[in-house]
Amino acid sequence: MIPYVKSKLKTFVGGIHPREDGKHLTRDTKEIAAPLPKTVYLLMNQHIGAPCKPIVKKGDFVKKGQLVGESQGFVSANIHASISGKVLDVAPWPHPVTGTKSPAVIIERADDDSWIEGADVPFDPDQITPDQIRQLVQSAGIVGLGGATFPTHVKLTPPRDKTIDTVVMNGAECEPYLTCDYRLMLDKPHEIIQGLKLVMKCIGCKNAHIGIEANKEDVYALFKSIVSDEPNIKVDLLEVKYPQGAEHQLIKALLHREFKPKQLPLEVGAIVINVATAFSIYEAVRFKRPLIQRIITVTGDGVEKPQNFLVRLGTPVKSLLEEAMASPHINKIIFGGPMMGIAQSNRDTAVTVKGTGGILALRSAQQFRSRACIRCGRCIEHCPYGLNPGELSIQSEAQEFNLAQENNVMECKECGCCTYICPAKRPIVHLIKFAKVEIAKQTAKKAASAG
Amino acid sequence: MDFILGATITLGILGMIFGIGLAIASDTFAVKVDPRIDSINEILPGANCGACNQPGCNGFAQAVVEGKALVSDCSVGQATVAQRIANIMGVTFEKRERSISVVMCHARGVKDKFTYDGIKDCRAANIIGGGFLGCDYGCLGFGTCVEACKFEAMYMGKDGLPKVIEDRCTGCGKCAVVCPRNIISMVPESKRVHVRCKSLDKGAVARKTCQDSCIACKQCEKKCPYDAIHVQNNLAVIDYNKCTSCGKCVEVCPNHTIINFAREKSRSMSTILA
Ligand code: SF4
Ligand code: SF4
Repeated sequence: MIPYVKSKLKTFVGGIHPREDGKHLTRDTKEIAAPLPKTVYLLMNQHIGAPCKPIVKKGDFVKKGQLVGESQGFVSANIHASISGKVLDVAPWPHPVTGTKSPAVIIERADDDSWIEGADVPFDPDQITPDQIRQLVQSAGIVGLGGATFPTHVKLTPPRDKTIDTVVMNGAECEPYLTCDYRLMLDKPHEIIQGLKLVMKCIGCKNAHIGIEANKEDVYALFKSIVSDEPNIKVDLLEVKYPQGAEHQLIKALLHREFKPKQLPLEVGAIVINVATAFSIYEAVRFKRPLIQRIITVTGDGVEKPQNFLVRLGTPVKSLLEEAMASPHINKIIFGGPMMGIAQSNRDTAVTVKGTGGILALRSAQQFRSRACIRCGRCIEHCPYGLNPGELSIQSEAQEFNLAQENNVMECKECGCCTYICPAKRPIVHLIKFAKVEIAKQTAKKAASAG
Repeated sequence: MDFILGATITLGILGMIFGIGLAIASDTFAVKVDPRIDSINEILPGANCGACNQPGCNGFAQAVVEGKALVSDCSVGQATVAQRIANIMGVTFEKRERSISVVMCHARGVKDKFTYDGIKDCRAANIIGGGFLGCDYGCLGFGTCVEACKFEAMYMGKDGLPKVIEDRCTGCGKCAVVCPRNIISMVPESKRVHVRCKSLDKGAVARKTCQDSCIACKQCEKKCPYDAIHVQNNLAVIDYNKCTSCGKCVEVCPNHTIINFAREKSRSMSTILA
């Protein structure tokens, strides 16, 4: 349990070993296509960056793969219709991540489920130029599917003065309960490697490094055999530890590079892509298929039949839960894994977005009484980013946001290790989020008054 | 004996030399402070509330002397203080009407979206799932504004909404700044009619979430003789430059969203005293 004991497998300093793993629930369920939903709700902000502008209106007929939300600006990602049908409305709908209402295109399904013309045509990826790849990725609306939802074409456009020497592929899937990436890696390993190669070609980088957690040895063996005659693509087993799949931690573990505060992966010469993202890049380039579906793990003790589903974007969660035979005793529904996932307030209005990798339905929702910090220092020991979470939480509680900023509160990635480990059960991540929001408000105010 | 005498004399002489040195140094290296800063500082309320956008009262006094702030910028001191500062500075100033804070929400019968057991601060609650309240625009009720008020001019009412004691409100605007939902507005004191709702939801939705919400029926718009109230984005908004507080809109509002505070005030004051 002590984080700095060297294990034989590659890893990083800090992090935690969650008691409950929950992966066994869905490990061996081959993903099945979820029945097509009657209605989909396509939110216009499913990515980090500027929200899309809806370009269809009520009453329009759209086909699967048709562009319905046009990206606004460079850091933004297109949104395409995930089913064919009639646009019922363009109206605000509750967003599962922010909790507030955002504009959404609501589509009612028609019988035919064929692609729009121009999409789903095979395309020879051998002749393709880097710019074409970037262009195809951008128009397909691909974002980081590991959960961060950062537009991928932005990642594929590193600033000129930065050289990227390694593409790191994240096959760690360190969040407990989730197995969607695991199933994808088992079923589509060749496609994933193709996608990875497209990324390498796009940014002109020779080396790749794939990291897989040690609880997925079958995938490791599979990938090893596929790339056995390609010395520039390395595959490595990683220690099972959370958050092994986070960008910084992967680079630390695989490439042994360290970060200065505020440094991004590309500043140490690497970019990280998730396996699901690599797969959708392959689909977008090879078949010109926009991102309209993904694999989602529906799991937890609140469903009788935990499953991996292939789900169209914007599918109501209710129908997925029905499909997995939800028990009536669900107390909590979480989008994503138990560590970083977002609890949902309304089961009836929640819809899937690009970043949804899992839906966790739990019967018990524990409540803790938080106490004052006992200065045990365990949070410091486990914070993978080298912060002092306890101190930050105290500063935020005292509303000393400037002090928290000086102590690099903005560096926190909200992984939740500190809150998990804290014996005083302090709501550290919540306090840190609070401080971050207040600091962002102050900065915006300063910027407004300065200019 | 000689020993003590010698030491006393030596120390005495040393002390004198240092004393003279210090006296000369403090005179030659003295930082010239405008005496007006001190005299303004004495007049100021000394609350250090920051409503003037300066770092405390001393900062404000300096800014006034340097010409970076107006003599009337101290909203806490109001006209009396402004007049006295103007006298010191030898300028005239324009008398401004006092603004007071008004809580623009009257949530009634709003259900919670989920059980929230996080930090008891409106700003922290607002970032979890967009706030636990059924209404996306309404008051979260933890009293962050009450805590922010340095003049004890606010308190949480029995209905879970913050109340303003108008006589104590100095118009510093701190409560309006901390409210994450922008429910509190600073409004000239003489304006007595307010729309106590911030919901931009469509009428039917708003009616379902809250009994006192604005349902955007536009009755007020039709009734207003001064063209001062308009429904924008499903919400009635008063243009205080045109409004005369005649109260015609209050009479027609079917959901009692628009309130005439002239009447409200006396009632709420009596409840405090009771
Ligand atoms: S402080 Fe932030 S980054 Fe560090 S453990 Fe806590 S949540 Fe993770
Ligand atoms: S783990 Fe909790 S109790 Fe221990 S130092 Fe960190 S915040 Fe304080």
